Amino acid sequence: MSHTRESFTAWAGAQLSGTGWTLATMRFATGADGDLAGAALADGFAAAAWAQADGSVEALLAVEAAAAAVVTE
Amino acid sequence: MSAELFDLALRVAARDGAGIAARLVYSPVTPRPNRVAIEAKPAGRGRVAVLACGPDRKVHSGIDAAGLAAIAAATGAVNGDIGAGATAVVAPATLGVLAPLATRYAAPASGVGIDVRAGSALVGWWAERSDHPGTSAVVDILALSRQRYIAGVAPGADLALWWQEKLGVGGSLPGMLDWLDRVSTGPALPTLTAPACPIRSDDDWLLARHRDSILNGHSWDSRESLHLAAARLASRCDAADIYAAALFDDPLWRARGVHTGFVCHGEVVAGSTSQGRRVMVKSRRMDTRLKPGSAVLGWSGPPMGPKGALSNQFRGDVFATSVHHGGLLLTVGGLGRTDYLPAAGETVTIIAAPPSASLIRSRRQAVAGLYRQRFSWLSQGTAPTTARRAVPLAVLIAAAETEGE
Repeated sequence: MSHTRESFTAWAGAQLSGTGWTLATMRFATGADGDLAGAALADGFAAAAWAQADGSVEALLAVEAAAAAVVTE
Repeated sequence: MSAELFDLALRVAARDGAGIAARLVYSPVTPRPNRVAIEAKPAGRGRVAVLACGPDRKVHSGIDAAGLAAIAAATGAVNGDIGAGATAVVAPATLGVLAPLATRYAAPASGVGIDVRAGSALVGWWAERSDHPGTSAVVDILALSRQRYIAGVAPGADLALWWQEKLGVGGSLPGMLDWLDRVSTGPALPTLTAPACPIRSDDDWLLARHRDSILNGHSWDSRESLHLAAARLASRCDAADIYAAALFDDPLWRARGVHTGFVCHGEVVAGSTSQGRRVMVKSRRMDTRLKPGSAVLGWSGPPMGPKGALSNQFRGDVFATSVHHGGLLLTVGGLGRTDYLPAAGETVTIIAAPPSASLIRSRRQAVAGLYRQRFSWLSQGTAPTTARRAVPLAVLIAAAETEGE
């Protein structure tokens, strides 16, 4: 297990190299001031949080299903 | 383009949470009601050992022709009627092992039973359709898992065993059917389930050809006309285009698409009116792939918001792009009479317009007509002049893999 964690840490560190972010700081990324790397990190965390939040996915699917029903009527 | 960092954030969120995180809200597959898990391995001296497990969860097995008969038994096609087909649930290498075996028993002259021919025809159908993204014929279960969810481990460390443990499904053949249930839960991408979706009708068309070949005592692997070969090649391009567009039905994929440049969003700075059917959008990101001349689809709201009803959407063409005060100004014109007309200050999302099923159908009819004409270069086989056209990356990769074999 620790080997897996180490390899993940090494891989993630390589992905972040040159962005100014690290595995420890990346959750603070906001994407302000044209920081595209930070924006991608912030959006990724926001997407994960949205998908895990209670009811958010169900609410979106309900809206889309209602819209599709209007189209097929 | 920073989509890899978006994925990295998802992976970290997965690692720190439940171990997996959703990449797609919708299921990217549309399996048929009849599903069969297949395993095939070389058994020495050119023979192939096959295991198959259908909805009754009984495991059938055999070597070579008996293996194809096992597939027929698992799918309920022992009488030669492959019916509405069955979705094969496979590991990545399975069809590469099975396809040559199926071809060997494609013709009635091979002197085998109708069940073996049914198994052969099904495998031939799976092998052909597996090159078409979004097909209902085959599911590569590992690829599907990685498409639907992202694992909280480094890429490549999420092998079959990892997913089986994480999803709590058994490693046996029946477990693969449970695995499919787990990763295909929820509604499928709306584009793939639309009645006019060409991928599904192409699946059905080829299945009917294979079904007829059994009933009429022909080989399903017979030589094709020039037109048919060209049409099937074109259908691969269509499938890749349709599937790529279908993914943008999904809010999570659209969120990622912002970082690949395929999704543009921003604030309307010059709204549309019923007289001037154009809209000017200012985006903070400059890296859009939408270029002047691109047909686009837009709607009111952010990328992860619902696209909503047609009355919330607009279609048009990119008229111009320019840079203004550090932002990208995108002018979309040619909005339709019934389109939504965004007002200044609204947030809109814009993506490339998805392929039109009716245009695909009419193009196919036009090409079929040209092949029938006596003096068309298509029917004569004379070399045309060189012309360039865009080919989806997935098709190029598939062709390169075939070249290398």
